[in-house]
Amino acid sequence: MEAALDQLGPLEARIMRLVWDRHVEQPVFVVRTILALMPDLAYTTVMTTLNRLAEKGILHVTPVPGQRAHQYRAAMDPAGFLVWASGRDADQMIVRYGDLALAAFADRIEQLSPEQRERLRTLIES
Amino acid sequence: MRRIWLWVGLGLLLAICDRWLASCVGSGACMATLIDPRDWLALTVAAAILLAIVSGSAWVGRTLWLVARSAVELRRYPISPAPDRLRELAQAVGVRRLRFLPSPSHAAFCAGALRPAVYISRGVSDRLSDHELAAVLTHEVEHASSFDPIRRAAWRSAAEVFFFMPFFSWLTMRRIEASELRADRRAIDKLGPKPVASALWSLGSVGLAGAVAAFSGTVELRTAQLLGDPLPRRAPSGSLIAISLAGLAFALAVMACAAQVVGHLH
Repeated sequence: MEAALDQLGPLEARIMRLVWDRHVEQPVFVVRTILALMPDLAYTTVMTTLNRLAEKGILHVTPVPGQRAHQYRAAMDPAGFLVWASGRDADQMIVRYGDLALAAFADRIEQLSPEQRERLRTLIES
Repeated sequence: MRRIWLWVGLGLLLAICDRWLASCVGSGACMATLIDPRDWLALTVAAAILLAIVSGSAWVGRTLWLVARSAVELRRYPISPAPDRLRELAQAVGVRRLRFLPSPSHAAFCAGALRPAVYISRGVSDRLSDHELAAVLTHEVEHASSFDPIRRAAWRSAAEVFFFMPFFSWLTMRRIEASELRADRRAIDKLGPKPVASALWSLGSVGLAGAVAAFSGTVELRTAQLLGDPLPRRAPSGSLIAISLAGLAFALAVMACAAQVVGHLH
């Protein structure tokens, strides 16, 4: 779990540690739960952080039936989050720094002419 | 878009500087501090020196920034121990630093300025056969041993800093193409063209999200090399050279004006 928490900001990590620690007995929680367990945090701070985690896809957010409040649950466990973060970071890295500060193997096959594609396929199948 | 703003900035700089010079012409004391505009050689030399200092500093700064930013992002990567199969293949082809990303995405690249490492994701490792994976690793080893990530950052920075000379963008593209062809050549020499072609096909055909969108597309040249076709000789066009020389003249004009201001302030 520590490796997963290292990928997050300090506040996000505090909240996700709580969420993942209590995931089994309490898979769904509301803002009040966090505020009760972390009294040093302001309501707006918790809300902002929860929304950010939801925007990143780390938390699922759904409305509480019959209320204006929302409930949250972890979208993935720490191991799943690490895999997800790794893929996201790799893609972002290539998008940001491909051609700038890294050299990647892949290229766009669809840019080839039909004749070149056919010859390449023949070479592969030979 | 950024290039247009840079041109606007350069034009504004010339306009402001010219305005200052015009106000200086009326003042004898101010005029005494200027290089005589009729001494075009002294003025051109002063402009060239100033342009070299400004562009050189911007080039070094931009390169270092790119390298530092990518290094910070690389450090955030969740790295996992590589599977035995990948580790053994990497060892066999001479990968000195291997980083395994436990991600299903398809990422295979070389990054790192002073100690370049080869990054392979689980998605790539699972998708490719041993021969294909060895081809990818050999390709990336060539990038690592040639320190291509930092070279690429330096070339890209030069293209950005010398935006007024499009020749640098053209040259950067040719350098990137050459490095890709060289990396493929190493893999072809070691393993033959088939595994390289197969890996290129396999990774070039899957959903690579935005990953491949970042690339300029050297695939036609790489494929020509794989097929044993003659590679086209590329030379800059006359219009590219003419535009670059005009851009250089414009930048020197700006710097000549700025050199007068700098000389006056000193």
